[in-house]
Amino acid sequence: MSRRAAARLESFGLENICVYVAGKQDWLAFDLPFEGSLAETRTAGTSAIKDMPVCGPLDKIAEVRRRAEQADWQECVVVNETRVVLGLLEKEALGANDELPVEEVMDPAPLTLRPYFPWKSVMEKMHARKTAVALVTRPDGKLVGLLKPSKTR
Amino acid sequence: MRRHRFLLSKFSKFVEVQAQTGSVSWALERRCMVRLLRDRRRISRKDDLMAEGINRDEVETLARNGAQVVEVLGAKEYEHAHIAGAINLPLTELNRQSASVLIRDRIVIVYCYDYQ
Repeated sequence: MSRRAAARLESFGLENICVYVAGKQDWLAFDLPFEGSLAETRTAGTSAIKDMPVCGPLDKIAEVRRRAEQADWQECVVVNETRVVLGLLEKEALGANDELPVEEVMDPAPLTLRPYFPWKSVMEKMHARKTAVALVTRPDGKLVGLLKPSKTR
Repeated sequence: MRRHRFLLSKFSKFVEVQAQTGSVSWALERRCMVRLLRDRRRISRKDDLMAEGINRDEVETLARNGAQVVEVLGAKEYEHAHIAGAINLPLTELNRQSASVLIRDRIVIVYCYDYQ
């Protein structure tokens, strides 16, 4: 559709046309500035908590548990060095053996949503998965934040 | 494609340096952008491509430097969400008259929902 529009604009004599091929979906998924009614409603992106604790896959459980408790969290997001999400540690996993590396007890496939998801849809998906926690990521896998309705302001 | 990326990064660096030294002028930026785009288009023509396909980072850079961003989806979809600063020219209503709102010597970035 955008290619067709570009071709039409060229047929009108405009010369400097570019096409953003990935389009609006890509823009919104990367949590970039947008306007419109969606910008005024609650979404996964606007509700995501961004200062939750994170850890690496090889960190030891004891150390991660200590950090999470200090920050008053029962969860910790597992990321690599470029902040790509690898998994999630919830309360039960944080209670595992002190010396275990995080990667052995983390959930590698937690519920993951895009920033533009409306809040209603977020709640439906969390309900369907029977989970109290979900992650928000960009299409490149990088962490935007964590959704925890009981903790969300 | 690598050459395209090189040209854009060269342009971004140029604007950054000019802005830092306070010597940037809109006219100069615009001339530079148009020239770069023409270079890119010339390369694209060789590959039998149409209007230049650009990515998210390039949209940000070009929009920050005065490019016109145009959503070609319908008004309802535009009202729901659009790139900050974008205008709406629905494809269904696109004609010479509606397109006359675009400034001819400035870059136009066209987008819809996804790769359709």
